[in-house]
Order: sequence, then structure tokens, then C-alpha cells
Amino acid sequence: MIVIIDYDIGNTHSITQVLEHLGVKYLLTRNKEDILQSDKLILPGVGAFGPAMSKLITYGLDKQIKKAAQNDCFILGICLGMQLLTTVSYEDGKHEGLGLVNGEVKPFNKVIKSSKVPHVGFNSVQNHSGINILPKNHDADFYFTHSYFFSPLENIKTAVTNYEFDFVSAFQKDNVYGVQFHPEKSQSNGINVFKKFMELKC
Amino acid sequence: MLKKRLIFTLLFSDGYFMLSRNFQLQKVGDIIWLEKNYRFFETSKYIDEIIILNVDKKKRNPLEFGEVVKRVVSKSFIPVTAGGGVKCKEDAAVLFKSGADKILINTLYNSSANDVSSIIKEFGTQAVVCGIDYKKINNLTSVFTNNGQDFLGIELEDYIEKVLNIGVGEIYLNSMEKDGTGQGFDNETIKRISNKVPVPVIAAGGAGKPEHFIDVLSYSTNAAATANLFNFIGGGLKNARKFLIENGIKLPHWDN
Repeated sequence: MIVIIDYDIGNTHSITQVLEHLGVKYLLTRNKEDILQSDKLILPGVGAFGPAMSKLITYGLDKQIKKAAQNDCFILGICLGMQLLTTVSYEDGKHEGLGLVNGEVKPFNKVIKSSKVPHVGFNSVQNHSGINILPKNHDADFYFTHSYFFSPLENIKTAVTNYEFDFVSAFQKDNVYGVQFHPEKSQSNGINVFKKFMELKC
Repeated sequence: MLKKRLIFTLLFSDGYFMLSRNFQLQKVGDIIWLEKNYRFFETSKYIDEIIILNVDKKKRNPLEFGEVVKRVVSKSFIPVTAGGGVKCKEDAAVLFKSGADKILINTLYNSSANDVSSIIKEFGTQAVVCGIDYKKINNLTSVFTNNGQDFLGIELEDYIEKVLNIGVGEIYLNSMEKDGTGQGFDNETIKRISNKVPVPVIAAGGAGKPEHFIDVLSYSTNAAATANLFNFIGGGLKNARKFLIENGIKLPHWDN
């Protein structure tokens, strides 16, 4: 059973709409048993890292997600959800993440010189590592809206997007996936990402 | 490379979608009309974002509007910005929960910077768009709030600086004079502002035909919006998109 984690943050309505469109059964919940029994978890996220992490901890979801990852459950973190899967974020201070993937979330405005922040709109994702839920190799367009980006500190599969420099727009570490863009907002390209995620077998 | 965005703005008031001309509103049709004449799932394949604004001057019920947002987005898989009458964090939360990815705030930026700050703190800067309506008065571009009713007596660039200091993700820049005229955007002002500000700018007000989008998207403006239900009905948006791509404007590409 697919579980979309409900922790009061994120556009869960749009994600449920895609799953319904695909005819996939899902649970939108923060119930511990449901999470532990699921084989696929989706962690959405819109907003700021600090408040989101606090909510996860308040609901005890940080422990559940870490346990689920160890049980080889497939996890897909979307946008802020992707960032929460990592070690640390420097958005408004320094915040510890779930630590499933080693790396840091940093602000664009410390790195890019002339482009606007946030990075908003559709940009292409180059899947050089062959992450299996993304289109193969194409420059497929997906919707981004973020002011912070993830910089990995370990060797994992990554896809990149260019915004003055190549930043990691998606990663895969074994059963844990993260996408910086919003597949639920990326027309048919995004729907296909969900479809491929659903088709993953343990 | 970041692509440009073609946006459709839906103006909603008390159960109906509206057409606006120089901020005078005219009822066009309800959600049934919109679904029949627009078939949103079909139309949304040819645009890159939907903005839905509650322009009701009398009552602004966030929960009811939230239901409209939910319904409009239920079959379209593109970004949605919702706004109009957002006065506090709770109003914003209702819209996000209904499917909005971003919210648009106009009057609150002037009336309560603290409330805007608390919304930004909770939801992130990138999720907040500032809507600015302006009109030229005595050679100055002057800002108006409250559905274009309240003259602030502040010049556009000074106001934008104030907005940037509070914090904002994008600016939706709307010319009240061009609004609904179908005669093209206020390119001069929009170009000047786009080149100056460090956040993405969405041009609004005046789109009548596809050529207008080419003018306004040819420089640093990130996106262009139209609220003209009649001009882009039926195949209008699909044709506009094709025309823009053929004329060198880089819009997102789908494997459809």
C-alpha cells in the first residue's frame, strides 16, 4: 500500500490527484502502523525546512521514516520532502534532517550571481546516472520552485539541472529517491515519474 | 535552461468567473460553464500555470474559495497559485491544503507586513507571490490595493523595494490601464521592473493576441499571464503556445 505522509505540510491534494488519475490506491496518513506496513512512502513538502522538520518530529514521523527506509521500503521525497531526507539544511539557521542521504541543503543566492531567486518555472533534468524513475537521458522539463538546493556529500545516483550551474535535481540511493521538482505539477512528464515509482518492485 | 511560462488567470467572485476591463468586472459563467467551455484538463495541457484570484469585493470566504480551487485543479497537473483576500496564516493554509502551490497576496503587503512575514516564515518565500496593481497618474506609476480601489500614493519602484524587504517569491505586475483592453502589455514598465528586481516577474494586463506574449517574454520577464476568457477560449491557448514556440520563445516541452 502506498502511503503519502500527512504532516500538515505540503500539497497533498495534488499528489492524491495524480495517484487517482493513475488508478492507484493510497493512504494519506501519519499512522505509524500504516507507514511501517507500506512498501512505498511519499514524503511531500512545501515551505520551510525548520517548521517541516519540527512537525515530523512532533508526530514521531522521523523515527518511522528512518525505520521504513531500513526495511527497504521505497521512499520518494518531493521538493522540501527531498531536502528533509538529507543530513542538514541551512535555511534560516541550521537544521538537522532525517539523514538518510548525506549532504547539505544550501541557499542559491550564495552561489549564483545574476539569476533570480527563487528558481521558479520549468527547467530540464539531465538524467546521466540513469535513475530508473526518471526519463532516460532526455532533457525533460519539470516544475521547480525553490530557493535552496541539495549538495550531496556521498556517492549516489544523481540527475542535474542547470541554473547558472548544475545542481542536483534528483537523487537515488538504493531505495530512497528524492526529486527537487514537483512531478505532480509537471504535466505528463511528472505523471510518468509517479507511474514508474509505483511500478518499482522490492 | 529555465523556460518561460504562459499563465492563465481565473478571476472568481461569488460563484462566477469574471472578465475584467480596467478593473470593472463582468460575470461570464460559473464552474459548469468553465468546465464545458474550457474543459480544463484539455486546456491546461497548453499552459504552464494557473492563477485563481478571488476578486469578490464584498465577502471573502476562504473555505468556499478553497473548494473552487480544489475543483479547478482536480484534473490539471500544473502549478496553481491562488489568492485574493488573504489576511492571515490560516487563510493561506486553507489555500495550500486545497491544492495551491503558491499564494498571491496583494493588499496585505501594504496593510500588515507582520502577517505577510509570518506567512513567509511558515510556508517559505518561494510560495508567496506579491500581486501589484498600478496605474499612471500624473506621469508617476502609482500603486493601488484593495481590488484597485485604494490609491496608496506610493510610486511603483518604491513600493517594490518595500515588498522585497518584507520578502517575496515572485511579483505579479498588473497594469490597471491595460487590463482587459486586449491591446498588449505595458512593455515599457514591465521591462524596466523585470531588469531591476532580483525575483521573477509575471507580466499581467492587456493580452489580446499571441503576438503580445512574444513582446513581453522576449526579455527578462519570466512569465506572462492573461485573464481574458474570451480571447483564449477553445483552441486559443493551444494556438498561442504553438505560435510562441515557433517564434523562438522557450516554453516547457511535454512528451504528450
